[in-house]
Amino acid sequence: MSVVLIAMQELKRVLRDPSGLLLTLALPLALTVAVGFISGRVPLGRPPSDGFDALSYVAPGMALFAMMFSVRQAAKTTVDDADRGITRRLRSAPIGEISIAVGRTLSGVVMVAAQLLLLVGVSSALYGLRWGSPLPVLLLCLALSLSAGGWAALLVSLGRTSRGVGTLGTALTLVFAILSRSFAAVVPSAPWMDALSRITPNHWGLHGFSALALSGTLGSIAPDLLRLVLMSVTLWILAPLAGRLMTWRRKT
Amino acid sequence: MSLVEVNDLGKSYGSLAAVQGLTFQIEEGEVFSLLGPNGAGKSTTIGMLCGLVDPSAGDARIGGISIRGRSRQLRRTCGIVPQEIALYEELSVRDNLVFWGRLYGLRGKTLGTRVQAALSRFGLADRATSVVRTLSGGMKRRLNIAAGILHGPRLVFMDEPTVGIDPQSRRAILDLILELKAQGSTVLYTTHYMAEAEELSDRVGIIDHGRLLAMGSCKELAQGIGGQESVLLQLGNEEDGGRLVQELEGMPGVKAASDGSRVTVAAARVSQILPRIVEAAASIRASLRDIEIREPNLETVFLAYTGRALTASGGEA
Repeated sequence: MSVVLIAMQELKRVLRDPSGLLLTLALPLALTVAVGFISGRVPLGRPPSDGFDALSYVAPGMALFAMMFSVRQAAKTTVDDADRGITRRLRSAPIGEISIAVGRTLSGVVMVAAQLLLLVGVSSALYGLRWGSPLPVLLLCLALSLSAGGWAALLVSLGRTSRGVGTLGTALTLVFAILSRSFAAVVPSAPWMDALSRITPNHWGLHGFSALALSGTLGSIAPDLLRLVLMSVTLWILAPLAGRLMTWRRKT
Repeated sequence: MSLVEVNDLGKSYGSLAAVQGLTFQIEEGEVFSLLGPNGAGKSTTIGMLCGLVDPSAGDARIGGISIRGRSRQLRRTCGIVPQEIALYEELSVRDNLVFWGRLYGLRGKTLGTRVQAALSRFGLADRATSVVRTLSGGMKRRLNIAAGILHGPRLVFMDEPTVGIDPQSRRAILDLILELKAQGSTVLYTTHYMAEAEELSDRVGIIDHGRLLAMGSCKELAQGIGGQESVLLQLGNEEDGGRLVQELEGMPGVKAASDGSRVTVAAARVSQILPRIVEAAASIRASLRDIEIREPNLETVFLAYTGRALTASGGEA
């Protein structure tokens, strides 16, 4: 019960925070519309029947770029809450510490999944973009939001301060987008970049979305889903260890 | 049986002992203050009693329940008003109260009635729908207290709730605490303001460097220092304060401390040594603006036990 209460409270906060909403929902939507306009697509017009459709590649890249911004935002809120004594106050309430962590993560997962699905929905409705079968798309969005939760936890441990998390989060968002070539699929990249991009959720997300757009099935993206879930679990294990390492480094 | 029983409680961070050998009791309906400078161990003590900090030594029982178990029943018994404004700034006053109330198990009509009562009692009824970040500092402080006591706890921890606010808001908060006291609430209050401790508390514990140096009612504490009096000297220059303290240090049975141009001197029968104090001031060419002899108070007690004065910012002088 307390998990749901905390998750609802966190979601309410996001919805009542204009800057957060702008960054997580309005900005990616505006970018998608802008890219559609630049690539010559007319809203509610006919999708191109043949040839390269820039939007069909850029839209998932945009969605994943926006997802990483949400990760940064969620991590920053967690650190700000600790600074403002909210976490301390929550911990003094008659609820378990796990409820607090799960509640917060749940709200983040729901938020990111909603953000991805909104982009999928709007780009489909506006430009007739083909994302693939609804169920695999939904599952891919959920797996991506789980991995986003893991990255947010690691970001909190490594960044520690609001400023640190903000800077590191922005850097991570940009580096992940570049490594996974979120906006420039046709540009060839170095093999080391390809290898490194495998640690990013953007890489597996793009891989999965591309497969689904090319009539892929749930079976064809199952390895991507599994990798994203494993990434999430690994990050949740790494996050507290990284936190301890940072504390030790600060002391020495 | 006392509501709070603290036995030899201690907390160490590596080689640093933040709190050591703390032993005291708080009776039901009592306001007990921990008075000490910043870093004395007040917040660590509250942290341990709330179950937020694991003690390194000793134990404490609240309503018979050990704090070591981190029991939910114990946490439901307590209400905490933290030093920080621990509120959701992007949400409304009412939303905040509803959330904290629910977290402590309040539901339905009871929750609605309690929230409404708190809004009226804390003078926030007309700002119920306002977003917290738009409130004044004093209003946020009041809401911070309201969120801590909404569920009607048997014991309230208040960790320096008047830090950084204007005198009018401070007065309003002190009146609220006096109201709580009149209603029979048990409060553990931490502060570095001696006037607050004197006004609010049934008993005061003086804490410094993690140790409880003395404990009792203000009267008992004053008697405990052997009828010492204090004289307050107001000098013309801030630099003269430290120099005068150095001059007075050699006098037997005299303890002196300065806070800028304000010097506090504690001694038995201070009136008899007043001429020597004035001579000392004259010898360093300090201009004396005002001299006030005071009855023994917490300021004298703190100076007598620690050898230092407590400044308005919570530091030591």
